[in-house]
Amino acid sequence: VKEQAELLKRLDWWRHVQMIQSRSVAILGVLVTIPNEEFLKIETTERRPLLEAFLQIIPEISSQLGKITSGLDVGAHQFGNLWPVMEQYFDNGIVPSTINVDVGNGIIEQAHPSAVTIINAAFRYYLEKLDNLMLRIKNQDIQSIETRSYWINKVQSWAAKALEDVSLIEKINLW
Amino acid sequence: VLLRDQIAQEASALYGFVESISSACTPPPRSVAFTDASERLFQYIAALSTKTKQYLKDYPVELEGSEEQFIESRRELSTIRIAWREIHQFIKPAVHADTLNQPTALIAAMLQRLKQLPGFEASDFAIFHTDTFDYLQVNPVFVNQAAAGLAAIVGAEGISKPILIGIPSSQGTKLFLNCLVAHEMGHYVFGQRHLRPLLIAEIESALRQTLGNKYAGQGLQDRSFHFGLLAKWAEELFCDLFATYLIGPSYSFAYVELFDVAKVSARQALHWPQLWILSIICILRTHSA
Repeated sequence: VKEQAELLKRLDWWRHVQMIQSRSVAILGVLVTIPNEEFLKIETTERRPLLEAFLQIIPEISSQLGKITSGLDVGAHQFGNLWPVMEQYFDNGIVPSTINVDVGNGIIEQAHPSAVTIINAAFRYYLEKLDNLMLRIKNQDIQSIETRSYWINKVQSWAAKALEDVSLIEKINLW
Repeated sequence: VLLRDQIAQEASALYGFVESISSACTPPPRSVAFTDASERLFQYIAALSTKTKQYLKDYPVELEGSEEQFIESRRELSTIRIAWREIHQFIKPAVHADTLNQPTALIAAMLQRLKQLPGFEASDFAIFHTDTFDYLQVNPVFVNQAAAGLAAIVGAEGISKPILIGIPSSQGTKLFLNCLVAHEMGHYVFGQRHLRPLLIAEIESALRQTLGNKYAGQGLQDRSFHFGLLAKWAEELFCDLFATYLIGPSYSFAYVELFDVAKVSARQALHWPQLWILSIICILRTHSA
């Protein structure tokens, strides 16, 4: 998990991730601060050299990953740009597949978020913003587990619908 | 009755065995809708079944060759049976994973990204349901190896097949936890890019360095165990990192949630210096509050 967090840092996701008020993010944040030597210390004498060897080959694994994924847009930049608008759409229970973005000077531009933006925006919303949605809806108890679970499923289904819509738009654009 | 006279009996039994397994998806069930990849999987199994049955129909049952030839013939029938037993495990779970019971949009989105990578433009995945909740343990490579071995025997190498990906049956339509499926796509990429052979030298060198004389003096079995363990860890880490690249932090969030990393971290923190215990506890408390 620490290596995942390190990768998120290298991919420029971290500046977006660290702003999320969630226990999951706190865990990732703590793990990246722990030096590898600390992981070695908690291993048994038998396993320590194996973990040490493993830590030595991680750069090669990362290098192979870099070769394979080079050229594939990470998606963090678009996420950063569109998250504030996506949040509003989720707040209002609107499927965020075609969104209107205020680009300044009263100009509104239409945008279709990428799949990566949709998935991560939905996850971020689920982790830290669910209360916003529930507080806008009549008679919703934000402390009720059952009610929260219902709205978590709703956010997932809106994101799934947005993914379907975006996929359809991309298909149509190819015709 | 000589054992070699039993070949016809064994081939017939195997014929019936294959027919019963493949009948679950020939023709594919029509009461529900399936993704294109699932449809292709069913067609693949049907074609593999047709080829296998044809191969068995023409099987030479009156052997006049040597004992070695007879043993080889028996071995081939055994390989066919083992391969179909392997394939059998995935047929019903794949039939259950119709479009209403799988995260179709999420899988399509991940696949669309995977296809942007050079060499993966034609990738395709059919979903099957697992009874156990083991997102990261379902390696699609095993069944593909069994099917490839069978195809080579019965002359069906040319038939293209989608790759199988397993998801827990209860999580069919959930979006967040199914982000972990990206890890399984990582296994596919790892295999297709032949990364294990590429990492051999690195693993060997690292083991020699950290185990020193102990590694050099080890028997073949122990060395193979240590090498295999590190190769497995390397593959799993690659899959995690690949998944993180493919869909971003959502993968890590799903991972932390499913595997309760907070609990694991807190337990391990007991062994860490006070500083780390404090930092973890403080942060977890702040966020819990």
